Parts: sequence; C-alpha cells; structure tokens
Amino acid sequence: MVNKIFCYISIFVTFCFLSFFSGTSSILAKKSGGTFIKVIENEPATLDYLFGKDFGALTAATNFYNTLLTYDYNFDLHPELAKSWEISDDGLRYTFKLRNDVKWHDGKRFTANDVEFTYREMTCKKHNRAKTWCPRVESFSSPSDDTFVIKLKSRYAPLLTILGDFNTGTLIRPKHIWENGIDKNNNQLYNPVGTGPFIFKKWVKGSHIELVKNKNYWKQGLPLLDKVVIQFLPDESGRLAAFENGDIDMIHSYILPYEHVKRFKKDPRYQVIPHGNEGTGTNENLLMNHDNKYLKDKNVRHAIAFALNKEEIADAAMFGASEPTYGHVHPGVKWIYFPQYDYPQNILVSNLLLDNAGFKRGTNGTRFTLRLYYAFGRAFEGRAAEVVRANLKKVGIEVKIKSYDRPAFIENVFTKRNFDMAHQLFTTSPDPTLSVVHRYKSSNIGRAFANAAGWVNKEYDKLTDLEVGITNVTKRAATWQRIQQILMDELPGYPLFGMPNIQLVRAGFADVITSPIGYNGSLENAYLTK
Amino acid sequence: MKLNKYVQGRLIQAVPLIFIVLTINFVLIHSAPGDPIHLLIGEGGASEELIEQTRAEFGLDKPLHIQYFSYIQNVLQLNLGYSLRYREDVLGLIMGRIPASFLLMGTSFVISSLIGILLGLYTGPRKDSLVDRLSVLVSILGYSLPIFFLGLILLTVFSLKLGWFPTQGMYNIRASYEGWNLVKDVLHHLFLPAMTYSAFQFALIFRVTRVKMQEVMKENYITTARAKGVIEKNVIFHHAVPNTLLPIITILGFNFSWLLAGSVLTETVFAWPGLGRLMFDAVSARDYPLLMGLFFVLSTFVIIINLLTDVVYRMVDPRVRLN
Repeated sequence: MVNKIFCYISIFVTFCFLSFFSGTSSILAKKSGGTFIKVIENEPATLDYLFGKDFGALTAATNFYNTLLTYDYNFDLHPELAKSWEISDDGLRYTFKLRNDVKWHDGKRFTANDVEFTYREMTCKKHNRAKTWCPRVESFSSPSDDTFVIKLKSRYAPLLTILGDFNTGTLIRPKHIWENGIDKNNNQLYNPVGTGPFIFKKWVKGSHIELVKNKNYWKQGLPLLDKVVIQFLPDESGRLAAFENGDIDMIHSYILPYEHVKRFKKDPRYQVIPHGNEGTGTNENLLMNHDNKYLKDKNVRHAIAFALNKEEIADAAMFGASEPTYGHVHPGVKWIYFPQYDYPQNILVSNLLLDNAGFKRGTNGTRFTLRLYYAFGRAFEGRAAEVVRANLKKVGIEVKIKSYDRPAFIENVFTKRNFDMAHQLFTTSPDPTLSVVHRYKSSNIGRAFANAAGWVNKEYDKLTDLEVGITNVTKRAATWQRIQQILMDELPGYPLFGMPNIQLVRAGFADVITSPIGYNGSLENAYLTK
Repeated sequence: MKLNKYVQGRLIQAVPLIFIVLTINFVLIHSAPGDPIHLLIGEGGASEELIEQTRAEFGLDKPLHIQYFSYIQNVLQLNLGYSLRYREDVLGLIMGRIPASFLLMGTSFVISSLIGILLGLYTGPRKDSLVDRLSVLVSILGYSLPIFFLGLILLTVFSLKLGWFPTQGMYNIRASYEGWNLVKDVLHHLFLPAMTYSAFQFALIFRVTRVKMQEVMKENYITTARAKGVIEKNVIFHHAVPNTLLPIITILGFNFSWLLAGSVLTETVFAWPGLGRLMFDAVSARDYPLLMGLFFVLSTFVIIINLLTDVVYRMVDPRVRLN
C-alpha cells in the first residue's frame, strides 16, 4: 500500500515536473541577444515627440519610455506603469495605483510626480492632440508616490484609451530631467532618459539611432534583444534592396512595397505579419470641397460616390494588399463599423443624379471638370487617382490629376482650400473621438489635416460634443451610427480603402508585433528564433 | 595685373554677389507653398494657441521684411540661425554632415577626374581604337542615365544579385567595427555610391579631354614638332597635353560646383548620411533657416571654386595673364 502511494506520488511529481518544463519550454526557448534593425522613412527631428507628427521620434521613444496602461487587439485595457485603476461612480475621478519597482535609466525612482508632470506640463501644453481631451480635465494630482489621480469636469468615455495610446503623447517622461526646461545642450531632446526596455545609446545623424538592452527593466526577463537600431532610408527602392539583402529586418505598413507583398508571402525568408495597425485604423479618403460650384450640390457628391468602383481602386492602389472600406471608421474598429451607408457602384444612378442636378453632357460627352490632388511620394494615391479618373469619365466628369509635395499639398487642400477633390489618409482608431471627430468639425475649417471640405453641419457638431460623455458602449455606438450616417449622406469625404494591416519582417525573429500599434511600438517582446 | 591684386578684386566682387544670392534664396524659399509650422505640429487638430505659440517661438510671426533683415544681420555675424525641425544650430548641423559628403564627393571627384583625363588623353590620338570605342560607350551611358536610375542598376547587380557590396549606409550597423576594420567597411560601403556619383562627371571630363586632344593633334605646331623629328611621346606630353589643359580646368571647376546637386539623389538612394540628405529633409520640412544656411554654404562654395578656377587659369595660360 505504502509502495503504491509512493508510486502514485512519484508519478504525480514526475508529471508536475514534466508539465512545468513543457509549459515553460516556450519561455526557455526564447533566445536572448541579437540586433533588430527597423527602418523608417525620414530621420526624426528630435527624440522627443512633443509634436505628435514625428513618426521617427515615436518609433524610438516607444522603446525607451512606457505608458501608464496599454490596450490589446480588442481594445481591452491592461496595466503597464499603472498596476490598477478605479473609476468613481460618477465617472469623474480616475485613481491609478502605480508600480513601485520602476526606475528611470539613470537610477532614480519613477513616481506619480512624473506622471502628473508629463500630462500637465508636457502633453497638455505641447501635444497636438491634447486639445481633444485636456480641456475636460479639472486636475491632475499625486497624493502619494504610487497614487495618481485625474479629476474630470464631465464624463469622458475615451480617457483610458487615450492614456494607453502613445500616439496621443502619453509616454511618461521623467520630471527630474524635464522640469527646468531644455538645457543648452538639448539633452532632453537628444539624450532621453526613460523607464522602457531599451536605453538610448547614440544617434548617428543622417543614418540611424541605436538603443541597447535595459538590463534592469522592470518587466522580468525582458527585453530579449541586445540592440535595437532605427535606420532612416528615404528611398523606396533602396529600402527594398536593403530588406532583401538582409541589411534591415522590418518595413512597417506605411512604407511597404505593396507590389511585392504577394511575393514575400510565398518566400520563407520573410514574414508578412497581419497585425500592428488596428490601433490606427487608417483609411484612404476622397475629400470633396463643398465650396466648389459642382460639389456643393449633394446630388453631385452622391453621383461621384455611385460612379466609383472601390474594389478596383483598392486593387490598383495596393496590388491586392488592401480591402475597400465602406464607412468613415476602419473595419478594424468593430464596435462602430457601420458599412450599410455605402454607395455600391451604379453608373446608371450616377448618370441620373447628374442629369437631374442639371449638369448635362456637352457635345464631347463631358459634363464638367474637377481637379484631383494627392501628395507627392504616395504612389498608391496616384494609382488610386487614375482609377477615380477612369470611373468618373464614364459618367461624364473629367478629372485632372495633380500631385504636390507635402507642404504645398497641405496648403492647397487644408489651409487655402484651393482644390476640388483630394486623396488623404485619416486614422480612425483607437477611438473615433480622438481620430475622426475633428476632421469634420465646422470649427476646424482651414486647419491642417482637418475639415478640408468646408462642411458645416450642426447635428454633427452637436452629436460629436455629446458622444464623449456617453460611457455606455452600446449607447455610444448608436450615436456613432447616426454620426456616420450623416457623414456618408453629406460626404465631406468618401472613404475608399483601408491601409494594409501588415508588416514585413525577416524570418528568424518572433513576437515583433504584439500590439495593435505594433507598427511603431515597443520591441520588448521580440526575440531571435535562429 | 598681379595675381594678388586680381584675387583681391575678385573677392571684393564676391561680397555683393553673396548678398544677392542670399536675397534670392530668402525670397525663393519663402515663396514656396507650405507652412513649416503645419509640418512641425502635424495632424490631430492642434489648438490655435499651440500653433501661434510655435510660430512665435521661431520668429515666424514677424513680417517678412523684418525676418529678412534679421537674417542678413545674423549671417553677417556668421550666425546661420536655428533649425526649425532639428532645433539645433544650422552651422553645427551642416558641419556635422560635411565629412560624409566630402568623403563621397572627394572620392568621386578624384576618381572621375583621374580616369576621365587619362583616358581622354590616351584615346584622343587613338580615335576608333577598341579602348576609344568602349570609353565612348561608357561615357554616353554615364552622361545620359539619370543618377538615381544608375544607382538602382548598380544596387541590383552588385548588391542584390552578386552580393559584392552592401546596399546602403556608410558602415555596417550590425557589426560595429572599429579601427582598420571600420576603414575597410566604410570603403566597402563607399564603392557603389562613389561609382554612381562619378559616372556623370567622368563622362563630361573624358569627352572634353578626348575632343580637345583630337583637335590639338591636328594643329600645325604638332605637325611642325613631328617634322622636326620630335619623338611621338614628347609630341604628346610637351606639345599636345599643355594645350588641352584649359578646357579641362573649366570642366573640373564645373564638376566641382555641381558635386552637391548630384549628391541629393545619390545620398538618397544609398542612404549616405551627407549634406544632400540634409537638404532633402530640409525641403520636405520647409525648414527655412536650414535651407537658407545650406544654400548660403553652397553658393559660397561655388563662388570660391569659380575664383580658384580663374586663378588656376591665369597660372596656366599666359594669354589670360597678359590681358
């Protein structure tokens, strides 16, 4: 009997032992070491991203700073520098319990003062997206080193998502480094001190930024890579050659060589990762200027929408790497994606609408001519424009395509509004309040990347003011359904296709993309598999 | 006129020239469409206060003529201003890129000039020989292929297909070499951009040298020299070569002035961290102070090169000296 019990115990112990090791085998198999070279298009201006536009700065900064919390592919929130958080019953007070084991790269302890300083003095005063949420905040405070409190003036549904999204300027910076402003050597801008998985080592101007492993990172066992390099390669063909030659390890979704994606999918030397952009949900739009004598007629805008073949446009623009989108929010943002208000191609209806609007065809078959602008350097927009031209020709609208370099494009389309139609990318995620609302607000006419159409709609303005206070998801989604219905009926812009949600990575690395903003997120989980 | 006095005179002429260039640069750059503040702050519906605050921070809120006078005042004190995009001293930014650019430009200039002149001198008297025909073919290609296209061809053949050279950059970032290994690595990276960059200059200098050499060889003094029984080697070196030098000097000066224009494309294709890339980024960001600083340095560079060319001309050609 004793022997039998002993035998069972032995089997049980052996089983536990084996299952322990088999369960952890994936962790044990993760190899430490290696260098990962990620490529970006343009050199960043500085290593701080006080102005959110600096994509390069952010790509580096996500590797040496952290946010308070983060979100997953379902937009569910998870702790990061904050261990937990509580929201008061009236929805106005957010209390965050912070980790007490986090140190800055210079050895000083991270505290709630750093969070308070970052939000109040940096994000809210300097970040371009701050206007969306900071005016709603009554106060930021830090009652203790590990407690941080935000008090709101009124309920604000997207607050936590905003704090979890580094694109809104919420990476936490050290108060002791920044509180006296920028020193004469610009150390704050060029020698950043963070809490993140990698430590800034050097910036070779015109070439690359080098980050090395933070051996004292507060997440146990991470990071696994020894070195992360962010290299600047402005030329598309040069980038492709460097990737194929193994000189660089990743090309993110916005600068993909779209025409080669199919080939890379079949080649075992590369990985085509179908994630990493859910948090931006970028759509390509056809903006329409409502001050144009033809486009100010809603029937003409509808006719244009009916004339377009989105499948053909998406295919030509992205060589099959992208799908059409049927609403003003990217399909990835599932809770408010309402595709039912779209205009399926119907040339007959389009022609009828134009006839009824009084724009008859001339002797050469043309009703009128419109200019279509896009920004130089975005070849896919040029390809899309060609299909738009061909589609609209069928209904008697002549299109003249012209491309400008980005500064001139912004001036023509957004500030001076001297355009008829224009191609423009707009993000729609992680929360539409942050990324969609300001694009069409009547108060944003004449401002960069905002209301180019010159569209004024009181119901839209009112509903978008109201929706942020609705904390019930179902009710908020219903409001967003109405908002999108208005947008699709009025057509200040017409959504065409979503940007491909794919990243190109060389084989031999794993867990490079682990978050919906992984395209320029942290590489703390990435490791070598060979 | 003595050489010293001549140089002094030319230098005095250069001063108003530089001011005219500065003014043209200022007007051209500021009349290009696009607002640097929008590019700096970017998308996201930034507040009006933030936009105005940033505009004031860089002095872009002041009237254009005030901006112009303060710019000229600063340039007189050799202060080229503060970059909007990089938030750094413009002169410092430019100086930081000069070593990489000069390495690429210098190498290309020396290679193209040496090979171009030597081949030109060699093939001049040997019209329609095999070497002559091959050199003409290469020079036509070098002259007619756009730099970026040639760069991509070389990249595809020598990097991707043959694997002989790296695709981009100035050195291997993964390996972190030091000392002699670093030098070898930089030379390895330098090869393709330098070849691309040299092609156009080689074509020009080779063709001018060759044609001039052919012309000179038909001159009466060559026939006379030969009739006097001077051996062919001496006919070429003592009589023909000195007379082909003048157009060569002109083309060398021309090539030198054009070095930077070509560098924008070569440096972009091969991701070489030099002045050309800096200029490309400055244009895309409408970084007024940096652009004006770059143009100022370039214009001064061209003016100095022209002056040097004229001085060398005087030294080589007695006719210019006498006039």
